[in-house]
Amino acid sequence: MFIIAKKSYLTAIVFILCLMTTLPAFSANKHEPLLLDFEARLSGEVFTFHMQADGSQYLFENWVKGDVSFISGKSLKDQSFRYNGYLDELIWLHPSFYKPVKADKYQIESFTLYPPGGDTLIFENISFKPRFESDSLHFFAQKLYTGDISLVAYRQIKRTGETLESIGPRLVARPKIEPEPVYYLILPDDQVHEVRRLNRRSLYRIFSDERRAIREGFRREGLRINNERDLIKAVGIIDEILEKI
Amino acid sequence: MKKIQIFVLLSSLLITWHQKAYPAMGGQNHYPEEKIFVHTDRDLYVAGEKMFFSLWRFNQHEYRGPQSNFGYLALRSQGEVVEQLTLDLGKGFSSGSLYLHDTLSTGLYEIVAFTNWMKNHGETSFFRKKVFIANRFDKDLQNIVPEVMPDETLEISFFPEGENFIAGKENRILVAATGEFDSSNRLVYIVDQHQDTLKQTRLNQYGFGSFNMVPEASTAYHLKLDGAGKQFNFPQSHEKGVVLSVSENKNQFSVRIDLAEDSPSRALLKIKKQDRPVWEKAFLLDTAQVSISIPAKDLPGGILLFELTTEGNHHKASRYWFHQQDSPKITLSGKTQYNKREKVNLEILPELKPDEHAFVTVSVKKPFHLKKNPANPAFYHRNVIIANDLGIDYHHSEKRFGHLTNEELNQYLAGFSGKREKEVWTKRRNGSGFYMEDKKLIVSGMAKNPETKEPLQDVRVILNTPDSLLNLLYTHTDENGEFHFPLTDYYRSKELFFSIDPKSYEGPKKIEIVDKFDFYLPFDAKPDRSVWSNKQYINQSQDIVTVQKNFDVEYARKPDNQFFRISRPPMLYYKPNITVRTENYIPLDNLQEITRELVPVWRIRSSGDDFHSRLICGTTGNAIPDRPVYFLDGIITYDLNRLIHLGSEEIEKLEIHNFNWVHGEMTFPGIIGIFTKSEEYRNINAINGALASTFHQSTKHHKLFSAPTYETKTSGDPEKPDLRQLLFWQPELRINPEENQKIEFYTGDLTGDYLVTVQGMTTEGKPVHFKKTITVK
Repeated sequence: MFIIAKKSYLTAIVFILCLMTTLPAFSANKHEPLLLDFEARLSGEVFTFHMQADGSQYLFENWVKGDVSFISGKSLKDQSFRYNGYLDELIWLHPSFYKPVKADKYQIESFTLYPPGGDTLIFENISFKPRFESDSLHFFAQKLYTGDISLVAYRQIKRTGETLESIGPRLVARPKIEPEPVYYLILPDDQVHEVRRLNRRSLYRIFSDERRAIREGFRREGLRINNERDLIKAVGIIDEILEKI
Repeated sequence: MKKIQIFVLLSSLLITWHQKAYPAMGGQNHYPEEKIFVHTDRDLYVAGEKMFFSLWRFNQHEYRGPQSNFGYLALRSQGEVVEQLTLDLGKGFSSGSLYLHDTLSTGLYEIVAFTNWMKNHGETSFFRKKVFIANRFDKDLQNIVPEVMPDETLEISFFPEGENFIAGKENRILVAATGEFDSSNRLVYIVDQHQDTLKQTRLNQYGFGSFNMVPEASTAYHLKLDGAGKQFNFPQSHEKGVVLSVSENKNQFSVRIDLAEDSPSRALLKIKKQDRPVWEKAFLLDTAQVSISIPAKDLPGGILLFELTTEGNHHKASRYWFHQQDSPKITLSGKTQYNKREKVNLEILPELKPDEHAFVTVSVKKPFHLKKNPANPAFYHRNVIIANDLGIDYHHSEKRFGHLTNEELNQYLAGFSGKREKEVWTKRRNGSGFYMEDKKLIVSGMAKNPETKEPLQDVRVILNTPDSLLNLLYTHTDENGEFHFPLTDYYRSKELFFSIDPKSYEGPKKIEIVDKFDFYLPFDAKPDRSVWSNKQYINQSQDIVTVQKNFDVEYARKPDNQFFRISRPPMLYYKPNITVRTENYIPLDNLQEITRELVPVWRIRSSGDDFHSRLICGTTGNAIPDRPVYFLDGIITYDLNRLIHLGSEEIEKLEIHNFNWVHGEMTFPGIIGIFTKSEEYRNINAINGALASTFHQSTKHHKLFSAPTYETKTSGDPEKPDLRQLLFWQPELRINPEENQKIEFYTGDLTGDYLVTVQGMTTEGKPVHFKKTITVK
């Protein structure tokens, strides 16, 4: 018992001595910090848009941690965001007021979301005119693949129909909204092509000159394009082929 | 339990090591003191000329942490700051020019250079040098000669090496002559009580000299100084004691101990740096003389204290020694005699380490030097080390040791007691210290209650600048009421307006902006002998400048690249929801009419003379609760009554951002931007009352030195005289190891000696310096 008490006593002394050596390191000093810079400030409108719909406007229903980079070059880290695909807007949960704020889109260069247990999602604020289209497009595009050619996705959520719901004696029509992502390929010469369908033929049409080599590449990998993951893989194969040419 | 103990011990050791290895995580005390050295092209100017300068920032050699990238330079007269500059110190170096206005009166002026970080160590840490400026029209120069010539006071001090003057032993004595009497380069005679001359020696230009002598016991000695008219008594020699002598050659220290005592004893010779022992040896002191050799590489550089003690720690003798470690060298080759308008070719020959470069300034000028100015960066750098090692204030170090060569310094240190003098100007603002401007210039201020003088804590301070787009920065005051704004290049040469957000504080308020050029250390503008004994030279310089003005000659040109990168402004919003340009509509008399006719979403109502407004939200179509915030030419204001009179004649553009807007932690129930044709914002002080404004002086491009060439008989202008006293000025020349650097320029029409000075710093923070005289005949 005495030995145990002595050990605890010694431990306490060692701990206090060690703590004293660190005190100068952590002592509050009126003269620090000596380097000064401001955190970036996010601007935007208090978000009040409500829609009773069948389906979610958001890529993720819950708030997700993320960072945002501004066109000024500054960035703001570790904030809570939701990407609204229906409006193509980044919604920020104000950390003081706890109100949603629609971020000033034109001041944002890119943002990154870190959904729990999932991959990091990087979105860029891009503006371009797709080939063979008359109008320019401007939206937050998620980067799926980056190389000499890039693949981006516009995570739009569109109205696809209506759902009828009985509420008491009345029949209420609600809009049905669903994700309908659109994929774009950005070529080295900055030409942008929409990938209209998730199949190999869409890609052959875009890369008509390299069709044969690409077909061979897909065959070698046994690749069929049925979903987004396959598309990403296919673009990777095409990128490698183009690099060799 | 044992594991926990080990863990706690290791954690604390790791944290403490981390603080030392990464001082950025620590506090102010972990950052070494910065120093600045300024080289001006000359020490004497005539009002109407340009002063060219170069400036270096340096720290301790091993330091690799954040450093100031902005510095300040001021030209002061006794009463005021005459000129002030903000300088870019991105490479640890800057250069520029300063125009000395024609109207400056004759007298001594002071150049002061500093960084914001240096303010933490008080004004005594600033670089200071004096320059003499003569007004072109003041030919009498009455101000430079004192009405009453000061008494030629003279004091002689004796400093025996090791502190002891021992009879019968060889002693080395330093003699220092101080006072108004000009003792430079004079002969001194050591005479005995019979007036027989035993020795003579010559003092150096600063009035110091040394000699060896073996005094006899019970004999009185005196010193006579040539021209002084009186003699001075030597200190009394002692029969018993120890003489300690130190000398150094390239690789070795030699310590000689002469004993004049009966009983032998155990002795300890200790060498200390900054009170910490760096070498020691114990031995038996039993013979009349003991010699000890120490390899120089075993000792650190800087001020070392050699201390001899005997048993029982009895102090016997001590002396200081400045140990100069290997320093880079440069020399200059080329002939020394030239004709008028002849091309001069000189070559800089560096002795640098393979991976070491140097950045130097080269000047060729008439040799006029003000006494007591910092001589060169090598001496300055050395004085900083001495001040640090001796624990004395820098200006004490400079005053005592400033211009001495290392040999002269070690003579002087022979008798220096080393008593630590801690006189430091500690007068500083009460506050939290000064930030290091490593990435951006910082503007600081204080908010207080003007009635109670109490600081306003944790209030939001807003910064705007007049612009055609809405910009806004904000911060909070600290417990001292202070606030600081780091500014990007966007604010270059802009007016800054500060106000307090009424949502954070509504009581009486006042904002004061810190003036970086507000000095409290006095400046002694009394010209000394080096000025008034050169009246003829000054008159000649005045005539030269008059001739140059008459011939419209200026040896300066604009720099090639005059562009600055401008950063993006801190925008409140990217694009307003509604923009209205009044030129597109019929003229309207006031804001109420304008809103009624042109901006239906903005509704202005009045109760008598009191006007208020609401916005209709661009998203919901409902009225936004609370009043919008107004910006007049980019400056925030809250009082619509002061703006209501503005009509189409004054207003160029209206921006209506009718949203519930958030900017960081600030909320705006709508934003109205009013942009006027005629800077109506200048009346805004009357509107807000608590506003402060300042002009943000940022870095700028300076004119460069430009001299004529005489390549052919037709180049240059034979009709114009070339009376340059500054033949060449190159502020930034890179010297690479094993590469000789050529310097070429032409002499002018003014004959006589010119001093070629090459000085600067290496990439390792070591000073380099070399001088050579050339003659134009």
